[in-house]
Amino acid sequence: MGQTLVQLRCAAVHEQLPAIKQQVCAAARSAGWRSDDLDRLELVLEEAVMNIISYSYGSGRGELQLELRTEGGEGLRLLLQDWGVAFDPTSVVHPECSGSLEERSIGGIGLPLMQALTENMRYRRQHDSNLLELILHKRPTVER
Amino acid sequence: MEIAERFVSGTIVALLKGKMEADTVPMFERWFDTHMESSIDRVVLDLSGLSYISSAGLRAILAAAKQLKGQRGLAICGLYGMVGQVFQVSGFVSILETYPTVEGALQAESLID
Repeated sequence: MGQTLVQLRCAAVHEQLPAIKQQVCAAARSAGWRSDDLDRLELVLEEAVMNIISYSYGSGRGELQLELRTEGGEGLRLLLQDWGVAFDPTSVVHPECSGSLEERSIGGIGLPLMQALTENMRYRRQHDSNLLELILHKRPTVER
Repeated sequence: MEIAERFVSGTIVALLKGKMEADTVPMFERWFDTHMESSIDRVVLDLSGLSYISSAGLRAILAAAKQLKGQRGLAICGLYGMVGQVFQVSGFVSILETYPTVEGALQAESLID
């Protein structure tokens, strides 16, 4: 199952985002994640957590639970759970990723990024909760 | 995030430094709105000082580009590392006016209109 690096549960509010990021990134860093890979993890984390904070509970309040585990030798597994409205981010068809400025909508930018920057994204609805599993592996460094 | 701005013949050139994330995007939006009130019609964003950008940052840049559409436009330059990768993956390189350098952005007037 891999080793648990972080386990936390908190209110799904904007104010929690910096602390969540700090905790997860520090744990990943101590597990040997650096530079581009660490940035990628931070981005995927921000997108997933912001989706819960912004949309899961509408105008109401709720919680989110997060777990970071090692996955195989080089990978990380991020598990996110919330008890808000059912939403499967893996079912969303990408909006246009090119086209002109007018055609590109302000929404729908985060999900394609999450899909591109993870190796695998799995969703299931479990007992009135959303469970999202994101797998990331280290990738070869892109030359600057 | 920090924004260092300078004016070059009617254009604002802004060097963005640090991280453009959910937390820091409102500051960019306020900065941009202030300049819109003073009827600036061309902005060059130099992202070479950014170490991180999320979809919140992309959304704000897209909204800014849409506001300047039909005027002299918004240009982006200095796309490196993680920020460059995010621009590629999101397809933003093909919908926004991008240049390797500030000089390139200043020499080219907005041709996308």
